[in-house]
Amino acid sequence: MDNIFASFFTASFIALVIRVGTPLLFASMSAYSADIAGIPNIAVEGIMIFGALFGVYFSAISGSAWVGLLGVIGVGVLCALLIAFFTMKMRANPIMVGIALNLFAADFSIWLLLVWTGSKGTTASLPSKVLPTLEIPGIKDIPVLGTILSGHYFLTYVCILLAILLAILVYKTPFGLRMKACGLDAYAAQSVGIKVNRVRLIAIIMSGILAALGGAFLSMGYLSIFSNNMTASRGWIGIAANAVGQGNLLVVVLTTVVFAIAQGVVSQLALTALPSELINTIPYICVLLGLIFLSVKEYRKAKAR
Amino acid sequence: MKKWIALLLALVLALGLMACASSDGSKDTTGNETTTGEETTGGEEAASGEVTKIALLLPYTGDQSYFDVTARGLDLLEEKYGDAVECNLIEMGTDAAGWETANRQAAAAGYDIIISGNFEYEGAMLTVADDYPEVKFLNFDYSDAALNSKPNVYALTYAAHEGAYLAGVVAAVKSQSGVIGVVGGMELDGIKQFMVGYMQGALDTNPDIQILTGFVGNFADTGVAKELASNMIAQGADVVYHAAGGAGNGVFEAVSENEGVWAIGVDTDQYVSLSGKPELAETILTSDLKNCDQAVLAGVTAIMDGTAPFGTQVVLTLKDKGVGLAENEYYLANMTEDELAVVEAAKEKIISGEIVVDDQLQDNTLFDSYIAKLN
Repeated sequence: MDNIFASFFTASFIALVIRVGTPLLFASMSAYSADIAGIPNIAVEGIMIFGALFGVYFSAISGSAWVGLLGVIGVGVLCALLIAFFTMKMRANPIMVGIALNLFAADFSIWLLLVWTGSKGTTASLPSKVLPTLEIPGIKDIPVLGTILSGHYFLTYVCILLAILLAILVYKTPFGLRMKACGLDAYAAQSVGIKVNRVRLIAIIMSGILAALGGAFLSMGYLSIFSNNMTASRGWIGIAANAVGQGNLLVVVLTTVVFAIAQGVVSQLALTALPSELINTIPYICVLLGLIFLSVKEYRKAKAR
Repeated sequence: MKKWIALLLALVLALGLMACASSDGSKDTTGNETTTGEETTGGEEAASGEVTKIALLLPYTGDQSYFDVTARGLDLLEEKYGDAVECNLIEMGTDAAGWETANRQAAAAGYDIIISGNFEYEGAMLTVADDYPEVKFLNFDYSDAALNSKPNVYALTYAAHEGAYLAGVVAAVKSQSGVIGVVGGMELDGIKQFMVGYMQGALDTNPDIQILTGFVGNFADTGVAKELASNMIAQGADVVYHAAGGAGNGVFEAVSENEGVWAIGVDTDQYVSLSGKPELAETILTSDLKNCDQAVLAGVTAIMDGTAPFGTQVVLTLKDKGVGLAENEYYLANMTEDELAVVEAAKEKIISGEIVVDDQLQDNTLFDSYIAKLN
């Protein structure tokens, strides 16, 4: 038991958390960027499935992982445009549009899989490519830091970079302010001359790309094939993390990190004799505790006023 | 104009959904068209006139493992009987509420033989079997013998623990480090049956061996399965076996990233089913086979010949070739004479009854006692 606990304080455990956390952070950033502009995107899971599948497909037919990645971004944009069209032009309820897209992606992906490979399980028969892992020269030879920082998948670094860029965009630029204004009160925003629909369109496109990249991480690096239902609710975890954050990007990211740590703990504890059903509840219990903590804090703040 | 675009998009969405739904009803969705196209031996059987309608009800296919093997049973039937049979694969979905309806619809639709089963899905079939005494039911993998004792149900199962035992023997002889691992899907007795057999086989071969176990928690999350296997490998395991359905592909991914580590597949020859990805296929030393396709063929043949002992249950053992190892060229090329001799000896001992493999389904405390023994 002791060595299990010791294993939580190693460099390779932190590397594991980063690995496991990447798709979750993509998902929660995706949910976040749409949500703050006032269009909740609950289709993260569905777009991730498409991103994962099309990444494999495009890289297989083009023979290049980079073309695959471009395709993934294209698919993300396309899904986003679909959501934007239905919610903004057709005035459909964004939740309904999200549900529709999720259900559509879950089944349509299997159908495409069947058409492309003749199998409903995996893309194992497609000669798909994976994005490289990056060894950072200089850092990779430093004992502990090297294990933590170097040798991750390409999209992991992209994810971290995008998180920083998103923070700058939302908190340091006028456009970020406009996004938040559209989310808080679209009519007020409109009254001061903000083009609400244009801001929201850009936000939802960002959201689509982020979700699709999260999917591509799973099938084009972390794993080398797409398998049926491989996203396994990671998109929903991102939506949960966004909900916990309530518009605060730092809290969203921290919640995602807590989720990732919990997932890491799960995969370490899974090798012990503890019952797996119990272990698998750890991430969700963590979030529940986080929500309670935040609500208490909000409640105190409201009372103090 | 806008309206038209909206309508068009809605239509595309609806069509997409329909395309997915309609594939449920049509036969041969596994994409294995070459075998069904040839109906060479069909002639003499078709002469008898009557076409036997056969439905196979599975929750889904495409796991490249258990359900796909079973679905292949239909191809074998069409190959054998040609026009004398009409085989349909019905995918009833993963929603438990739909299983009984699917069985009832199949029975009402005039199928002569309905094939379904497995511990999770047999309940729905058996309920329906009571209401349609004239329809013959084949349970291709039963778990509860008492429930299956019905005058129109013929139930088969597999000594999965015997196949897993051999996987354990292979793992133990192949391991250089003295540490091996096994990744399970969900924590169910049906999965623990594999793991217990594996542990016993490994311990009988090398009493000092260390065995790491872990459960994914489902049969789909390849990512989690990969992390579990990577963790086992980090702790020194150099052979990892899985009983995790589709999630097991994650095990091969983890193994492919490490030199000198082997994986063992399950249910079907996964070296063959993953041959499109050589870097994954080449991690798979052998697979522990559960020959559901042969069982479907044999079971339906017995029903059609009128020799099926309805109301009884049959366990297909290693001796009956119900289970066994995938002894493909890759396996033979990567095992030394001595290693093969050890596996062969174990096989003979199981067949002769000298070794009785522990069965979790007979005694559900076995898994825990093995885990306690190992720690």
